[in-house]
Amino acid sequence: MALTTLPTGALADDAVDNTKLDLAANYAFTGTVTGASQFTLLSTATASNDSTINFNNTIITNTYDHYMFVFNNLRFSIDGADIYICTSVDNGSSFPASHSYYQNLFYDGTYRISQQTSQSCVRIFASVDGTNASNNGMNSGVLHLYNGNGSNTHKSGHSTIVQSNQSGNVSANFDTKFSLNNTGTINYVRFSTNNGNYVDGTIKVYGVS
Amino acid sequence: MVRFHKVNGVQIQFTAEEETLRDAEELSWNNGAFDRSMEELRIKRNNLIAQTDYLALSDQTMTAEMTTYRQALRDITNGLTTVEDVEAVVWPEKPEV
Repeated sequence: MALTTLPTGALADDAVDNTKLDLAANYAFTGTVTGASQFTLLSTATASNDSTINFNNTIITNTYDHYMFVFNNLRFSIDGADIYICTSVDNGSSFPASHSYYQNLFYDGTYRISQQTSQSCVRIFASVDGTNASNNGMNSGVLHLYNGNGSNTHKSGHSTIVQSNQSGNVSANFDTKFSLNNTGTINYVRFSTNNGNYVDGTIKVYGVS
Repeated sequence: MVRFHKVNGVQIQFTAEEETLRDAEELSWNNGAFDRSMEELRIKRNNLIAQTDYLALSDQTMTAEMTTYRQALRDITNGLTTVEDVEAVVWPEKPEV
């Protein structure tokens, strides 16, 4: 009969004698994790000169009340363009002008604070030109979206994006908090820009339970 | 130029209407380049002035060099008409306090 537990003392013995427990082998975990949050990778979008990057209602469903988007080394074709998140409750047919946000930006030794209401999209950061050899910068960070599957108006999110310049030194930091005043279920997320393209890099979306 | 949305990893070409809207958006953005560069310049200038504001308090005596420095910062936007002008700005050196 297969053992499901290790008897007291067995671990120490087996740790010494790896003929019983091969410490160099790979073992498949077949149990269930309980009592801890799980991150489920739902989709990975790899940018390839795209004007927008979108996740529709086959990815953004009412399964999760918390989605996490991870931006990894995004590069853009234009320096200084605005990068947005736009959420939709009708699978991308429209983007309601009921987002509000405020943003802290630290750049060039100075904090800048901006605030907007009644927006169809939320500015989450500004691009740094990744295709210019003298300005080969990248943007990475994370964005959390909460209560998108709720029926109340308290849908919110926040993002932290760090921008590094061509030397790999930090160039700018963007912290944005936003909300969507809409009772519909968010079922579409668009990342856009007002100029140029997403040249390369990835955006991963996770469902958090 | 042909533009694309990427939806769940699949590229979808912009419609003609979307291309027109995006052309207008990019034109507007490009036309605003000088205003954006001036805004950045003013933010940096105002920050530099603020760093020496305490020297203007009534219990401080501001040196002539500091007065000149602060005036140069206030005047730094004079005569700037292009993005290239803004990028070529030479910032005054802060005198010793």
